[in-house]
Amino acid sequence: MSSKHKSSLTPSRIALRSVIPVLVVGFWVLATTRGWIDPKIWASPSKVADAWRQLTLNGFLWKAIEGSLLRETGGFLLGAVVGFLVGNLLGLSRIADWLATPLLGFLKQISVFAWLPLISLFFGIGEWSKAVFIGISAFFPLVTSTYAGLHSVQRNHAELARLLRLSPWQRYRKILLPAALPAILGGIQLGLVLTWMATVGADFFMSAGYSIGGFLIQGASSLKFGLVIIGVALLGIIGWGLDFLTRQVGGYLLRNRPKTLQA
Amino acid sequence: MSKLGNITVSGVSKSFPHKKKPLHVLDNIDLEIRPGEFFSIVGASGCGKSTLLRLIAGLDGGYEGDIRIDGQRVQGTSLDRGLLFQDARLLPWLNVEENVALALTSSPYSKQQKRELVAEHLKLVGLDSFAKTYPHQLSGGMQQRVAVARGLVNRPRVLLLDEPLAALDALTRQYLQVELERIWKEEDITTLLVTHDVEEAILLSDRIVVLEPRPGRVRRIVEIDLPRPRNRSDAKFLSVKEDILRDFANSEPEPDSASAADSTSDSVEILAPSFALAS
Repeated sequence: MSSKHKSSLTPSRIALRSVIPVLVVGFWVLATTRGWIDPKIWASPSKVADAWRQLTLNGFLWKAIEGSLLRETGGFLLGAVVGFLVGNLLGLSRIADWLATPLLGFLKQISVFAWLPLISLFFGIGEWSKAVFIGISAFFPLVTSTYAGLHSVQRNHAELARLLRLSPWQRYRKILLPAALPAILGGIQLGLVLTWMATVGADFFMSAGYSIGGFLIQGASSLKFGLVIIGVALLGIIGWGLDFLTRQVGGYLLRNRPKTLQA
Repeated sequence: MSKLGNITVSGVSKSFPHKKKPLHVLDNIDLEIRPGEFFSIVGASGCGKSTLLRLIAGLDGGYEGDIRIDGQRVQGTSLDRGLLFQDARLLPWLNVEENVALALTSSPYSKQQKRELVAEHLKLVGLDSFAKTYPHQLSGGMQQRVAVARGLVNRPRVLLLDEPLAALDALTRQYLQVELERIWKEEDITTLLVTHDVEEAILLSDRIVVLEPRPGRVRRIVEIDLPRPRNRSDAKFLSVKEDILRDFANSEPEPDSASAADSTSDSVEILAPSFALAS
């Protein structure tokens, strides 16, 4: 999967893939300079460039990126670690599975936004409540993928542990966890996408501080649409970068597996 | 080598719960396998030969009678007994060397000793230059050779083989049969082979037990008194083969045969297919 991507990055292919973005930007330039659309609603490229210059000069750009990434990382780690642990508990213990899996199946149907009132009640409106809000988006994918991964272990392989007299920990470390790894990596990938979205949600519904979501809020309220466009573009680029990074790490961890076992 | 590796099976019976009436798989089996002997169990499918091997390996329990290795009753699995399945059962995320070393995880050896044991056994099966290769890059025959190395790396007293060559193509099978004989001689280890290939059994064994199906019981034990290495097209070889095959003809399996008895060791089965949470 990852090797396929690499081999496709020839100059001619990059050029081909750039066709649509170039057309979109070209249309944008034309539409705003020729007056096809109201410049009060859609900022022209020069306005966006102005806003960009200002943001880099006053340092808000980096502060916002840093703020959003820190929140993303903190929230993701919190949710992913707890989700991984709960997924292990449910995947390894029949009793825990029987007791708690139906409850989790019920809880995961609830939108993250529905948790907001409870979160602010328990954690206030500071960074902790944001981390929890964002973390929920990583929690469920990690629980689900870890659980499914552990349940996908072949009976044959589990029997091998008995034959070779592995201790429970060795059995987990050498057989169960590697078998579950592709599924878990899939959960991490999904969790990162969802938490990145939740990071913006946290900006909107809780205090924004320095954040990319803050650009959107500020831009919309003060009619600076250049700021909004920069915010949207940053979200897309950074989100894509995070996804790319996880795919690369996942591809590396699964580099020795037959292709069908890759996530 | 000290003469250890005596297997005694006395009065072993085993049933599986099956619908209303329990399925009687093994009935009062008595076998005595001598140290260093190559012994084969043959029989039509449904005769419980794989079930018996799993009992000796200690993978299954809940039987009547007594199974002893050198006088010690079998209780659970042991590194003193190496077992090969029909599938090589290698872990796809470990390379050849790591797969063999996995069997040494619970062994008392030092790191250095373990490294040496792995290298030595890879050499024994002729895969020393494939130590860093991953299973999916190997042919089925090579994978099974890795499994042989893994089964022997703990220097067990007995080697148990559950149709290890059945899934391979004819040429590879013949080649590995010769290899098995060589390894058995080199290691001087009691070897118990379950197979439905009578020719394979005659080629390799000192003695063969023929089991009758439903319930599995001993029909007779045949001493193979042919000089090694044996020739498959030799007249005496063929007459022994014909003699044993006649036993099979008398116990032609019913179409409904391949029941719980032999399918217990069948390949891909999922541990618990409940994906309640996984949407």
